Amino acid sequence: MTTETSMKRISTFNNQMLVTAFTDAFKKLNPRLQVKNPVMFIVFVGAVVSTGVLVTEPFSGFVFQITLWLWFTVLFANFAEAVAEGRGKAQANALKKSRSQTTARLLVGGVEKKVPATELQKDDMVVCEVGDLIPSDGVVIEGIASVDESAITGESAPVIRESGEQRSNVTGGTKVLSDRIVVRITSSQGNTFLDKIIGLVESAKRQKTPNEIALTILLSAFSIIFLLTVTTLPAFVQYSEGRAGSPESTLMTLPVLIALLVCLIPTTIGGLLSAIGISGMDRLIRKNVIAISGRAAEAAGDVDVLLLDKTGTITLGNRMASEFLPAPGVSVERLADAAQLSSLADETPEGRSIVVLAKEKHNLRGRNLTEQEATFIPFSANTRISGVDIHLTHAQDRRIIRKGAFETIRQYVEQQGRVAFPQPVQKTAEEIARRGSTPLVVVENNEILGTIELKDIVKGGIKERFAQLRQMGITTVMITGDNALTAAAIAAEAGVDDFMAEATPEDKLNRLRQEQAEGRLVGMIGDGTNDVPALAQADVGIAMNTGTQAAREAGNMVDLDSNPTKLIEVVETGKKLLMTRGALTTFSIANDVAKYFAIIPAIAATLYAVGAKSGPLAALNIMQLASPQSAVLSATIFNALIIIALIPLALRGVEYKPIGAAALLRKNLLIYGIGGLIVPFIGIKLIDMIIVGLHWV
Amino acid sequence: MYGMVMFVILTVFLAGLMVGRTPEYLGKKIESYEVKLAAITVLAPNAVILIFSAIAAVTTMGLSSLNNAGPHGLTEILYAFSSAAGNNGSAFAGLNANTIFYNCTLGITMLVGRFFIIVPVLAIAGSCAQKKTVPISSGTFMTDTLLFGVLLVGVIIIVAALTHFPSLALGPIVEHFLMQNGVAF
Repeated sequence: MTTETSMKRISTFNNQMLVTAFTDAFKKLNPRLQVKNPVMFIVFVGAVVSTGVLVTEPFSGFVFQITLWLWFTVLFANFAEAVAEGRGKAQANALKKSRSQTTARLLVGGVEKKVPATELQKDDMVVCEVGDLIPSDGVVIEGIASVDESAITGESAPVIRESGEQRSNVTGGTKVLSDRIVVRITSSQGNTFLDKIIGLVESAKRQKTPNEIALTILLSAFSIIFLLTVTTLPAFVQYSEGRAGSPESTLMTLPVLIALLVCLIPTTIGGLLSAIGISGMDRLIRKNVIAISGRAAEAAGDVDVLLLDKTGTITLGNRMASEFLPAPGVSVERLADAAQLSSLADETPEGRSIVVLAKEKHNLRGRNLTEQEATFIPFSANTRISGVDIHLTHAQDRRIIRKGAFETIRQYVEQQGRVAFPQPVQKTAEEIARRGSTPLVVVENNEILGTIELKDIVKGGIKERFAQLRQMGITTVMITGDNALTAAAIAAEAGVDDFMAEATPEDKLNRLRQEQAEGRLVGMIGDGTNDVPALAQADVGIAMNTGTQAAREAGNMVDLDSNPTKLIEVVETGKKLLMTRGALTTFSIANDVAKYFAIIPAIAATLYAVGAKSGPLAALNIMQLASPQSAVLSATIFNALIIIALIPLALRGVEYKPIGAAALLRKNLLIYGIGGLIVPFIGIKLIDMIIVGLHWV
Repeated sequence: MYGMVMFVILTVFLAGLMVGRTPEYLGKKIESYEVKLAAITVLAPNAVILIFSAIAAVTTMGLSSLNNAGPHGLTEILYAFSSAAGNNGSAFAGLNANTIFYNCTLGITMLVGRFFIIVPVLAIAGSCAQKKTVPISSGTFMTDTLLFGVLLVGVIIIVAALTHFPSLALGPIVEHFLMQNGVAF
């Protein structure tokens, strides 16, 4: 079974997971774990005290049921947390298994030696061949291979990894599908990417995020208020009983007060708080984004400005030839022919696209030129020119074809002695640049033939994505090394809000600092080593998994699919995280109104009764609950069951739509505020009817 | 006014969470420090009202000042402490507040009601002054709308109602029902 299928299997609930979560719920009854969550700790203490009352006093079925439901409340909250952790744990176990079983073929002085992967040190050299699992993170220093990275990315299409500047990073736990590579290990044990993922999915290092801390404080404050309200209640009741001459209420007992307290403190959100946090990280992982910290996941929801690298993010990264624009007096076929000849040996995507365009548009087939016939001049960073010399039988028939950027070719022809550069060609080149494309000028035997337009292809659907980001209130800034003209055209086509042209790494960093100084939260997406300073400085730095090791270390999130448009989902996840907490807090507090209307009349119903059986406060019993006992019990049961009922919502998160803050608030207030007021009235009444029907009280 | 600002901070925090954004008010981010202090300002006055009222309701020191029977007496006690906490300091005529017990407890209530609000408010002001101002974007939740007003009032009512519902039920509310039945104190 591959890790990929195992990931799919555990992504849905299954019985085994629920059973594990169920037993974990009991294991979490450890007071040292409980104390971490102040709200649930109060419930825990209440349940313990109530149990004490149950065993020390003569048996009462009513106290027994209250105690039972108090314990259920604690267990249900534990269960929610355990379910949230369960998925991550299963995933981590699958990953751990694959790591512990790997053997590495260590190279010692050119001789291979088999060692367990767990014993590898930094800078060790290992050999990986077809079928081998790469034992640890490293860089390919020799060879080329196709690698199945589905174990970490979930993407089944193999990727090429080779020695050199780019695409040389390999990750431990991935599988070599063809050929042989030598890898230099770059991470020490316990520090590899796989280790980090395991740590994250196990949430061993999960820290509370700032908003989570603030919310915990608020919830604790509410709990203290209710603690005071409940502890002072007996005094007021005692006063009233004295004044009214009523007999002592049979319901002013410790278990009932505890039940009232537990119903009032925000247990719904308190019990689900950690489940919400864990499932937020889990959602990111399932989207193949690894957040190095929960703080980053949450901050993603707050991003104001997003800096994106143009190449590979907004555009496909490869420029494609789209048109041949001949110089005056030159036929388009001749230009296409020369362009194709010069590009036959050019294996870059741009070169290949020229050959294809000539074939498609002008029916020129790719020809084979042997080495005797032609010398290819490959593009080099120095000359910035490429082309071909074709030696025909007559020396004077030699065809020397060159192509390159406008400026380069102008210098080239000037060097060759020809000074006048045709005005129309210059004009065409400028127009092409204004459109956001790149002009390539083709010259044969010092005659300017024309221009090839290389178009930067903007990714499909990206405009809609940016529109969505704008609706979320996020400004997008495109960063590119292109000149301002080209950058402006692409920015307009992609629909970004702003762009930075001819940007150096320092420019990026300065822009980022400036945005931050103005108080904005900045997200940055990048993959190259030159992005490292900006990724490290950004509040949310998302590194592409295809990026360099340095870039992956610098960011606080890694996108395993290397698909930058996924940022929208990352932002949504961050927002969902906050919204789910907010919605459930509102729901929890709004619920209290109904619980008061259930419990207070129950406790005080007989006060000031003048002759009649029930006192004036029975008028507050608007739910017409059967008896004081059933009212207290129904409220407690409702309080416990609502936690279970809301687990799916906590795990899934509240839906986010970019409809603007006011509309969103109105919608959520309606659902969770008004809903939170109404639902418990119905729920408590129903439970009351059921328990009375079952003769529990 | 400053008490209101504290409720505004709590409301903004809740609203911010509900729209999926770290909350901000007047361009200042509301974080755990502000929430903590705002919670103290809401918590402290209510705590002294409840605790002293409860003591007064069950001790002879507290009860000897009452001139009215039944729930009206409890109403008088609650009013005296609530009024003191709100820096008003009035009391019903039916309650003789000029006793050692009431002078001390009401005095303390007044101090708590004043300084447990003033000090946190100043601390919040100081912390906010040091923060960077966040520019407004379309994701920002505006606080000058009717919707926010409704939410703010809702939060105030619910927090106040939830804190005092039980004691009020036994005081003024029951009194009201009894009065409807023709019973007065």
